[in-house]
Amino acid sequence: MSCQAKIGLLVLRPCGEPVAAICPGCGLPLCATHGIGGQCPDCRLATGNLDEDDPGGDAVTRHQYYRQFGAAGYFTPQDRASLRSDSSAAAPAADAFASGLSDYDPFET
Amino acid sequence: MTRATRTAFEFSPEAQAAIQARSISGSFELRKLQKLLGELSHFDEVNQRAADRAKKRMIAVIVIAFAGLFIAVAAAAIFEEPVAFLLPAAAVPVAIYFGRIWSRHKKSDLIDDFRLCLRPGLKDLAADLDPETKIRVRLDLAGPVDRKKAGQRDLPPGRYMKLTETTFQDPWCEVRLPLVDGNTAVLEFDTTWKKLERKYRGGRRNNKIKYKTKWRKECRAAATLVPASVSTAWNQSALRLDANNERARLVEKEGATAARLERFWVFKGASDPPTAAPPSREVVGMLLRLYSAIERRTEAAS
Repeated sequence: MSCQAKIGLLVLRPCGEPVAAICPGCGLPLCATHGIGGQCPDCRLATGNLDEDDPGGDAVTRHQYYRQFGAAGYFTPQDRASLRSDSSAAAPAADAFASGLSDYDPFET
Repeated sequence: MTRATRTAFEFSPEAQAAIQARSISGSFELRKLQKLLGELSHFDEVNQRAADRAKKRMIAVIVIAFAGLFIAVAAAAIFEEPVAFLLPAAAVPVAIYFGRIWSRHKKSDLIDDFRLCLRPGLKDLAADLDPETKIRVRLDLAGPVDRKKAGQRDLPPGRYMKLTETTFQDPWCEVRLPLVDGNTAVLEFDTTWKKLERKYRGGRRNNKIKYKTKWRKECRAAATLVPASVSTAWNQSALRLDANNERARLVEKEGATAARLERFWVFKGASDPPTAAPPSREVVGMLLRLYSAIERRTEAAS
């Protein structure tokens, strides 16, 4: 079993380190780093016991970003509808981008 | 590099080279890049404080010199001795000395954007970056210098005698960030500096000719998400575009359709170029919104 505490901002995923503790609040398996403080970062965040500089404190930053901009993995009902249709249905959504396709090379490779 | 900043902190050879050149270019591991940016931030803060201190001292000495000159004129009239002129005369080289220190610090000044915007943004994205792949970086930290001058033109002067606008084009940053899921994020920052110089007559009695400078800093940040999968599709509605300050477009990159989001900011300053920079949260938020706009077919299939 591996640590299931969330890490990342754009690419949200479980930590994956070996388990050292279990969160008494939600039962999440935690590694030594994310278990510091006795609870998982999300439970500590919910009870106001987590600072940005604490181990697992990236949960604070992530929470602030998601509250302001929405989560990276968030799906709107329109997203789901477009996913259920065939692949060609993606084209109208793509066309909605302001300037359409353009030839762009951010770096010479 | 100035003596004060060199002795107070031991910089790595990479940082010393970057401070000398006022630029960074190459591929870096995240930790090394963060260390380098940390050193440059420290240098910039110390250098800025030293420049401000030297400027204050120079102004103080000039004020003392002028006050001393008036006192000396009065003393010379009363006592008929020119000795009192020694004080303002002695203040002149001291003012020149502090002026030269100020000038030296200003010449090695770095733009604040990298420490106000890029560095905190990288910290927030650190957990998303692929530790196995290096980050490609090109930073030009010199700010509005002569070699970036894009044009100078006289504007209709209106109530002034002369109005001149000088434009500097400063594409100061390109960072290519490999992400853990195989996608690539590219951040680019362009700044257009506009220096507005006014020549006018002012003052009630003597109608002296005066000069005044104002600065305008137009910043553009572009976040591009280059997907690892060629079949990635995008959904613009998830971007929640701010139509006044942003625009989005699709771009072809390495056979895949990448999405690009641009955002604009304007900052104003008097006499010196504005030090404000795009907020790092808004820039990272652009990447977050681009991620939201990916249509995840695999999740839908499962």
